[in-house]
Amino acid sequence: MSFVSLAFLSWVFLFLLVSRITALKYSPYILVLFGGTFVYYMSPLAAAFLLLESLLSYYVVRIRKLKQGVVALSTVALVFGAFLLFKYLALAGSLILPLGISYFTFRLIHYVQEGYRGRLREHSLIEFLAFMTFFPTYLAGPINLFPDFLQNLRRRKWDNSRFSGGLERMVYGYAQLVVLGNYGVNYLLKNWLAGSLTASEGFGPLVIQSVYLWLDLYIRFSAYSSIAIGVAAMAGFNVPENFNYPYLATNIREFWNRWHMSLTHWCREYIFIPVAAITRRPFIAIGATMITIGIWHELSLRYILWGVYHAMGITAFEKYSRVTKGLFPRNRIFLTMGKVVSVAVTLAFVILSFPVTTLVNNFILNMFR
Amino acid sequence: MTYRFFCRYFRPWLAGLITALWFAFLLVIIFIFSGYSEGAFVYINF
Repeated sequence: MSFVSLAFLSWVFLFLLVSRITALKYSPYILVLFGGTFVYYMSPLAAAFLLLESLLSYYVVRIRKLKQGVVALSTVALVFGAFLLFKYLALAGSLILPLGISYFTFRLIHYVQEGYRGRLREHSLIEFLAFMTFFPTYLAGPINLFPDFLQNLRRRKWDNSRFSGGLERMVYGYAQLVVLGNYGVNYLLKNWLAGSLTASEGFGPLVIQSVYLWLDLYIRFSAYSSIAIGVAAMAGFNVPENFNYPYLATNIREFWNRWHMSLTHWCREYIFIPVAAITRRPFIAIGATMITIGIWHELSLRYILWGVYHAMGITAFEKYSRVTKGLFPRNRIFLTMGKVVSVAVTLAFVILSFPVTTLVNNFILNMFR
Repeated sequence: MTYRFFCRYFRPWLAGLITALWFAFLLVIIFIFSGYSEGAFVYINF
C-alpha cells in the first residue's frame, strides 16, 4: 500500500469516517486498530518489533523506583542497540530493515526520556500504542512528540475549516510527489542526466549525482511530510513541520534548522543538550549530534564521515561568525549581496557533502584492502 | 483556506460539499497523472 494508491486513500477516508462517527473516548482504540493493521499489512516484522519495544518502554516509564534512571538508560541503550543491529544487518544484506524503524526508535527514546524526567501526563497503554502506530507519520515522519499527541487525542473535535486545510495540504503533497517528484525529477531530469548518473568514477559525475539526489530527496521527502501533516490535520492532530525552504538557508547551521526539522529538534533535545552539559564543549556536542544524524540515515563509514563533514561545517561557521562579527558594513546593498553569496556557499557546501565523503570513504577503504 | 473561501458565497453545508468535490477532482487528476504507477514509487526507508 503506497501513499500514491487508491488503497491508501480509501484507508485514510475510512479511518476519518469511523473517527467522525464514534465517540471521542473510543479514539485511541480506533487509532490502534487502523494504525496497527496498517503497520502489520506493510511489514509484519516491524509490527511485532514495534509492539515488543512499545510494551517494554511503556512499563519502564511506569516504574517509580529509585533505580528508575538505570532502567531508563538501559532501555534507551537496548532500543538504540537493536536499531543499530538492524541497520548493520540490513547493510550487510542479511535482513530487510523493519519498515519505519528509524522513526519509531527515536519516538520510543523520546518517550522513555520524557517519562524518566517526569514530564509525561498520566496516560493509558492504549493511548501510548495509538501514538506509536499513528499511521500518517509512521512511514516517513515527521517525528511527532507524545505530549502534543496526547493533548490532541484528548481534546480534538471535528472542525470543517481544519479538515479542509488538512485536505488541501494533502493534495499539495500529492501534487508535489507525483508532478514534481515522480515526473519532473525521477523522469525528466533523470533522463536528461542519464549519462552522469550512471558514471561511478570522477568528481564531476559525483557532483551531478549529488545535485540530483538532494533535489529528489527534498521534493519527495517534503511531499511525504505534507501528506502526513495533511492527513493528521484532517483527523484533528497537529504534526510538526519538517521543512522550511532549506535551500534558502544562509549558513549551514540555519540549513539544519530548516531541513528535517523534527529530527533536528529531536537530536538537539536528546543528543546536543545532554552532551554539551556533560562535556561543556559545544563542538563535541555538535559532532555527536551530526554523527547521530548520519547513523540515523545509514550505519556506514560514509554516513559517519558525512556527519563529521557537517559537524566541521557548523563548527567552522561558528568560528567564522565570531571572528567576522561587526567587520562588514551594514548597508542594504552589501547585506543583499552577502545573503546571495551566503545562500550559494551553503548550497555548495551541502551539495559537496556527497562527493567529498564518497571520495574520502573510498580512499579509507582502499587503504585497508 | 478553500472551505472558508466557499463559505463567503455559499451556506456552510454547500461550501463543505463543493470543497469535498473540488479536492476529489484534484486527487483524480493527480492519480490519472501518476498513471497509478505504484511500482515507480519507492519509499525512503531509513
